[in-house]
Amino acid sequence: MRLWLWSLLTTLLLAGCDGGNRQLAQESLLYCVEGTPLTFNPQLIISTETLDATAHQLYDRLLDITPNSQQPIPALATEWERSDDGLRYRFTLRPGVTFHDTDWFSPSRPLTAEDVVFTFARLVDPQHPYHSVSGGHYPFFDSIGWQALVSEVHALNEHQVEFVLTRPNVSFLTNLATDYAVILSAEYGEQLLAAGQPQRLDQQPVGTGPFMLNQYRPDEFIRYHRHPGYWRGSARLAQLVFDITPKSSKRLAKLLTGECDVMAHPATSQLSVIKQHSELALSYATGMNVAVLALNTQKAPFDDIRVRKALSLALNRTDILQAVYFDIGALAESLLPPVSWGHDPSLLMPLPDQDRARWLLAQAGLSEGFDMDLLVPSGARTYNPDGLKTGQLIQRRLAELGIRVKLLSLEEQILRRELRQGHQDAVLTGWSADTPDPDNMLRNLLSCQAIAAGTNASRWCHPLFEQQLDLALTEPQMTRRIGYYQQAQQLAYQDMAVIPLVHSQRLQAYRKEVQGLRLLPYGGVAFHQAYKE
Amino acid sequence: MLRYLLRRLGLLLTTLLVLTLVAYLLEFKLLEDAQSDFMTGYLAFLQQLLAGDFGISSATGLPVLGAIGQYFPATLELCLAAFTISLLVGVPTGTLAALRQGRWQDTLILTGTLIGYSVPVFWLGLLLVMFFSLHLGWLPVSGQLSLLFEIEQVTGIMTIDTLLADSQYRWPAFLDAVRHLILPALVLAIVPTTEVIRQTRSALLEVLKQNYIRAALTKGFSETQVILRHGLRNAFPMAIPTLGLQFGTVLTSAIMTEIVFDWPGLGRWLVSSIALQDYAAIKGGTLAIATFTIVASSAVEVLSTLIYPARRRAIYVRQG
Repeated sequence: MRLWLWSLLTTLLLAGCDGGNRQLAQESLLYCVEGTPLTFNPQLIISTETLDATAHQLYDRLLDITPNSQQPIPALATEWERSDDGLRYRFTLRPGVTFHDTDWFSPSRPLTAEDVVFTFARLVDPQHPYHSVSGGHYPFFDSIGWQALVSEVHALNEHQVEFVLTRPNVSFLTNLATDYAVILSAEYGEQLLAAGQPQRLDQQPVGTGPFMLNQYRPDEFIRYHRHPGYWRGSARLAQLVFDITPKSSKRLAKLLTGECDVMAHPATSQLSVIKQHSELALSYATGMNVAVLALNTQKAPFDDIRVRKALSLALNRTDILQAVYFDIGALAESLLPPVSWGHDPSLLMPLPDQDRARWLLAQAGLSEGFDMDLLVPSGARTYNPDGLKTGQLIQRRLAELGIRVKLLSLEEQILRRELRQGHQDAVLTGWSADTPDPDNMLRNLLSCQAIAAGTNASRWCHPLFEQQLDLALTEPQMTRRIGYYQQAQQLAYQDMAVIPLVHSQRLQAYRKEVQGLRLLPYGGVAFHQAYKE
Repeated sequence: MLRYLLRRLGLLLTTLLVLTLVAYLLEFKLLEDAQSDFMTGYLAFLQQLLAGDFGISSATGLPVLGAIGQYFPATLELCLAAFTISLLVGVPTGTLAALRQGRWQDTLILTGTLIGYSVPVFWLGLLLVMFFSLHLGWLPVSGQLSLLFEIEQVTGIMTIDTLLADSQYRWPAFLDAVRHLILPALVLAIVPTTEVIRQTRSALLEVLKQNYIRAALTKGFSETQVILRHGLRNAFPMAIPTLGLQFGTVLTSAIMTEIVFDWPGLGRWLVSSIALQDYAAIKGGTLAIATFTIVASSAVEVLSTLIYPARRRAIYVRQG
């Protein structure tokens, strides 16, 4: 009798998963991600996790980019026109696009030109009621000089909106297609303003995207429900849950037991395990990214080019590629990866040479060595799966030159704060491109404007480099643009503005029953078409 | 009796006061707040605490007290489950060891408790996950409930909330919550179980020497009857106060257990707050955990005194 009871209980417990909730499991997708989003408005931040959780789930942009031809295609805007002088862009909006109807907001009208104006005026106009809410910093837009570029955004009528630029800029359209250029609801903004809680705009999001936010517990999970009236057709999944699991070993364990359906950032060391399990699958995407070692060029001794060159000679990048990336990636010779059309094949990083590095240090009067702090990101980044390990490899190589490196592993939020303050010696950082345009990578990593945004961690500012980037933006002819970008890269190379390390590949592991996942070319995953077999 | 209660209460309040002082010192040293002198600052801090103001978390921008309220029930659920397990397993095992004192069963059990006491919680948790979750696939790896289920937080104790939920998936959700609870509760139960076994054993041995036990046996009652009616009933008052002190140890291992199993409790929250340098949260979390430990162990002691007359007598004797 007692045995009977026990076996009944155990069966019930073990069968718990396959019982009444099969349909629920079928219609839901659990995505194990690494970090918690810092905000629900991607305009405000540069953070892979935040973009992944917001840009393509909650929002849409005016334009999208085709992964193959790298050209803009219609999204919320159905067509667009450029004036002959290149200073005016006119967009026609898609009719009947609905915003999310959530617990905190019920839209009374579909998307209009007013919403687009609201969204972009916030970035540009200091008088805008939302400009200073949430800090008033728009790092991506700051770093590409958006404020100086766009002089005006206005609605022509309900369905047409016009952007007026101060100078022609060929990357304007691709910037509108980035994950940061999401469209918010003006009606929601007014409602919050009337209620005296404008900060909610970035915490309780309302967008037009395939999913809407249902529940969020920081460091635990984000629950999305499908947006029933989505203009591309409502998603097949009723529920999408981001399970925030910082450790990649735990994400893998959950993937194996089926507690996750999709896993972000599998560690390269886990690939062999994933391949052994027939129920798991892997997808790769060539990454438009670069991992770099950025030395603070405004701080001694790194303001001396001999010291920067010595450090670049001391590193063994092949070791890093092997030990950290498990050879899934390629050595970076310059900032732009070979898939980028602006890549300069003539640039090659020197081979490791400790003797020459020692000689250069002696020239700089530092033959005794020195102490330095190296900041590394504590979690995995798209461009660097293991910052700490990379840091340790660098630490060991530099120790041979008498340079005593202290590693400081920092959470993303804190690391960003440190970099904005700019007192660091050196940092392991990088960039994942948001657009196919070389401008995106070069400007964010090395332009003078990007120093304040904290993305230019080397704090290197060179007028000629700036000039090349600006020339390239106004140049319609492709071969000349390429010329400008190559020149800019050569300038950075000669000055050793930053030490490029590796271009990594993007990986995604998922259970085989999951279909229709789309790994986005510039980071993140789209779940709109995803379903389970 | 009243005098005893007042004394306990006084002791409790003093301890809590010392605790706030330590918490304040921490902040005072860290922030080097030179604007106000120490005493004024401390009094202001106490005033804030009494008003229920634990500060604002720098990581989330929300009140710390709210976060404590959100995470504490999960810790409580885990600790209660672990205590239940340790009593269910510990008392019979301890009794068996006492009855077979000196024989191989006793040696086996004592060796077992020593091993159980020495096993690192971290390692054991991982080992169980590897076996039951990854190898056998029986139990989930981590968390409090599968995220498939949308359960409204009422008490924060998931096994109760799932049953309260107005959802068609109430029953599967409850089973899922129990499945999630098994491994962390087992791991957390290990240390208190060994303690329960040892305490039960030694208390029972003490009691079995007493004359009334021998008298009962000579009267012809069966051994089981004697143990249940006279042995354990008299052994408990001796064992329970020491078990109350176990709250501290259990909470310490609860922090580690929560990390291993991603259990959304106070401990895990506290550790992640440390990583985020969220001082308000660290301070609030430390205060909450320490207060819970002190209050819980005092409560156990007071309760056992109230329930068992024998212990009351002991107090009066001590007071002389």
